[in-house]
Amino acid sequence: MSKDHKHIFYQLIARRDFVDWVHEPVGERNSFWEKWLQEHAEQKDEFLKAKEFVERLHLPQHTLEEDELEDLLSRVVAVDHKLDKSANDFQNIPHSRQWLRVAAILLFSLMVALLADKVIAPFQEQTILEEVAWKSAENPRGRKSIIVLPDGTKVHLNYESKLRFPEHFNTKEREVILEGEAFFEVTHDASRPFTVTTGSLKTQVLGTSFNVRSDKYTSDVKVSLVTGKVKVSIPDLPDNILVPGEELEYQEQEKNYSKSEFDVQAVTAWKDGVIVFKDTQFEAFIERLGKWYGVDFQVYGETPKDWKINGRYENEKLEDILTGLQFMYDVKYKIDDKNVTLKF
Amino acid sequence: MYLLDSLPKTSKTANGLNTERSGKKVPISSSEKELWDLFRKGDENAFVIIYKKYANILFNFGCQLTADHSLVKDCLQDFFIYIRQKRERLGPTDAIKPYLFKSFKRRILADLKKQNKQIVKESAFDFRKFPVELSYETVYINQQLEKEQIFRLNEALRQLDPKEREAIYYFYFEGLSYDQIAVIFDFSHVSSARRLVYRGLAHLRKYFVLYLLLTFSEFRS
Repeated sequence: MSKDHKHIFYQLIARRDFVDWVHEPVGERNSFWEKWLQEHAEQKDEFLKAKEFVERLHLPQHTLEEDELEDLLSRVVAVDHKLDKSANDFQNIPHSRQWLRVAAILLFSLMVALLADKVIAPFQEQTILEEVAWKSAENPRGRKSIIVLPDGTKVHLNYESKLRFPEHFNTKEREVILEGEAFFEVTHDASRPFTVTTGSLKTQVLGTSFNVRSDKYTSDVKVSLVTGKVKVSIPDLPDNILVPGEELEYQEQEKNYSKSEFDVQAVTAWKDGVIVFKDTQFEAFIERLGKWYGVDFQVYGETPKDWKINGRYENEKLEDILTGLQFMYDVKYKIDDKNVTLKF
Repeated sequence: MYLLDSLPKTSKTANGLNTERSGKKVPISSSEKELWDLFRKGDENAFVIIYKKYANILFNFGCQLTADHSLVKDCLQDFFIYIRQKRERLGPTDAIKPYLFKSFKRRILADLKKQNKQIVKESAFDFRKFPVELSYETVYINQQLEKEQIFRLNEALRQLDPKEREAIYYFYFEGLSYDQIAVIFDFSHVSSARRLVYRGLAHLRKYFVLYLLLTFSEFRS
């Protein structure tokens, strides 16, 4: 308990809405923080300390007098039509320097091209695996990749996932087999439907973008449609057409499915290197990070039971995420290659 | 409820001043965007509104960066001349404040550097600015922080590095959100701004935590 107490002070003083309320305690803000205090009655002391901290925070203020301001404004407006020299500075850059700028831009684009080559190359290598008519790409924990299929379809393949696809698509259909999770941006081709097979479930499209996720252990599948239109076929069940923003979840064991709306950002963020946590509990949090970064967690001490983390991390280093965590919770971390130790 | 009402409202602090200056008509972001767009299209009235709203805020901000207040004033004049003449070429924004802060800061630092070359080393160019501290003056009915704690927090505030201090300034004194702070620092991710503020606060914590531990053990025994 006392552990939480001392952190609530720091949590509060880092919150924009808390600070705003202290500065201007009006309207809804009051009712929000009154309610907060009722719900966290045991943290009243820390709450009041945080409030006092924000109130006491002080910095010398410097102001110009009304007439100084008026004066300055009239001088600003006076410069109107005669072109001010200082404001035109950059047009006086000697030509030699402008050339430099052009050269720099060229060099930069050249570097980008070289880098792009290096970045894309490993993805291409992955596709050369099986010799037969089928190829496959597989990611272990901690790796994500982008695969461009023969028809131009782009597949973002998540960690712990595998995609199998033919070397060439035939003239009638395009079929791939997925285990795990992938985001598809399918090239439109009305004459050849594109089908993703996940276990017994098939998702068929013409040209669209959608996310498919299957669970290794339960064989449950989730198809989330972002744009276009897909048809989901499950043996012994009627076909389902999804509209954008709709997702279908299929429970293999129960032979049951349900449709619902989904949060596009949350479902597809992973392909852009973004991890999103929404009221995520400690165990799930650790598991996600482990898979995302390909590391193993060792946890010592008592983990907070009511831990709920919310956050969005964009292409961030594990180290930075854990440093942020250190501030929120009383935890110490150590990263030793693929092993991460957390101590509460 | 009674609790919140009984707490005093500070008016002496910088925060009070800020609310006075910008708090009367806090525009929602859409109207900030509209105001800025009007200004860019050449609306003189919009320019004057922006000037009246931000001139003193920018002046104060500049004075946190350097003790040379006349330089800040000159800069301010040049700055408004500049944005007024370049209005058509300025980009759109829905938050004027961070936008102005960012370019005004650049201008001040450039001017200070220019000056620095002439005055050699002894100069007003002091990175250890933003002298944030907890005031002892404010009188509280229910004082929670003890003198000793305030003393320690102030010690800790003094130890912050300039960037952390600056971030804390934006967060507490200018009411900027983490994403607006990120804009000023040129961070591509909001989380970097959040981290900077957290890091600053974590320093406070480092200095403060021993004391807290002490009070808690007393409390329990």
